[in-house]
Amino acid sequence: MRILILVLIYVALLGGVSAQVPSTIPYQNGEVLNFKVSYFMKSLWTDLAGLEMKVIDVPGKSKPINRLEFNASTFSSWDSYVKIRHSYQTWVDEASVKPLIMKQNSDVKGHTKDAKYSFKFKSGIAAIDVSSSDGSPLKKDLTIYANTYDIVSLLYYLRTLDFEKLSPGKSFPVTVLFLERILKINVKYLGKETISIEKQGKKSCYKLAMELENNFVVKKDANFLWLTADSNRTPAQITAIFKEGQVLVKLTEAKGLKN
Amino acid sequence: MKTNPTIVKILVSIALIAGIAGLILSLTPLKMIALIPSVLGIVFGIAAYAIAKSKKGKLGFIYMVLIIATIGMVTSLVREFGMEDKVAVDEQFQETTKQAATETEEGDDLEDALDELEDLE
Repeated sequence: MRILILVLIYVALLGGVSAQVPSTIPYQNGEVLNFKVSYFMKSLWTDLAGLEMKVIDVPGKSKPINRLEFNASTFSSWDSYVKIRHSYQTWVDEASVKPLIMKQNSDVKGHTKDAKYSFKFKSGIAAIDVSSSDGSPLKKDLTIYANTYDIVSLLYYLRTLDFEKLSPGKSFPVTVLFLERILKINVKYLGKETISIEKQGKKSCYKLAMELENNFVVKKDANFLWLTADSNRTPAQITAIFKEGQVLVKLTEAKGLKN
Repeated sequence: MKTNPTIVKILVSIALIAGIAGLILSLTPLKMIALIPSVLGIVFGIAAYAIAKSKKGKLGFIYMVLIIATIGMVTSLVREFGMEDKVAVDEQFQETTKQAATETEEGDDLEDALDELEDLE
């Protein structure tokens, strides 16, 4: 199982939404979101893993910084068959949600990978440093742009946008640094949709399509994100199609919400 | 009682294989997929029962197959809806990620990265 996804060229036409500076920050220190990851196998959904996302303030720096954590683990019933652990920790500038450093630690059936991305926006590069248990170390620099994010900071950045100012069909480009590559993604706002959320019932959500330029880990044009249509803009649901099948990520618990 | 006709024997054989497969799968993480063979086992078992009963054949083995398939189905449903999946606490992995965080926050990397944001906009 590979989890979760996610890089660009600027064309104008943002339709009134600034893709540069967030309008408001809808989350706060201490927010914890839990999700369930399910795979569509043989015509049935099978629950596979849990996903936890956290926001943590980092004290003692010259500007406010958040550490955004993204931890995914297979359920204990699966661990005997396929034990997977993924941790992505991204340190972002609190005001702009721009990523500063991203660290990945992964353990997939005993194969480990540790990666560090250092974002240097003034220099226009990200320094990549990767080591894994079954490959040679990799160090390189990649060109980045003013609107380059990693997969975690992208999700939190999207939460800061004011979708009430967007009309359905409007899109804007972003770039994402993922698996040591820059991916170009076109984010399209599809309008509001009501979905069912565990413990919260039916809620209206902003639905976004994330269109990649090419298939990469996921099918390029079958990735959707739902954010609750309230002042928290909590990620409620994500769907994507991998080579192995369709994945559904659903919010199961939200604690420490700002509003 | 008469011996069961061949068609009943075939149906019972299929039901038995499906029921056992469903029961085994219901105890694994593939508990929802186990419903497919379990339900097939029940369907074929009922078909075998109906024919055997009409021909006044033996029903004992058919009952046993239906019980196996039903246990598989019930086990799947109870494990899926009655028991919550949980992530095990992985202390070793947590220690790795905690170390990664501490290294970053105690070093100069973050301040250097903040300098890269100065005067950007």
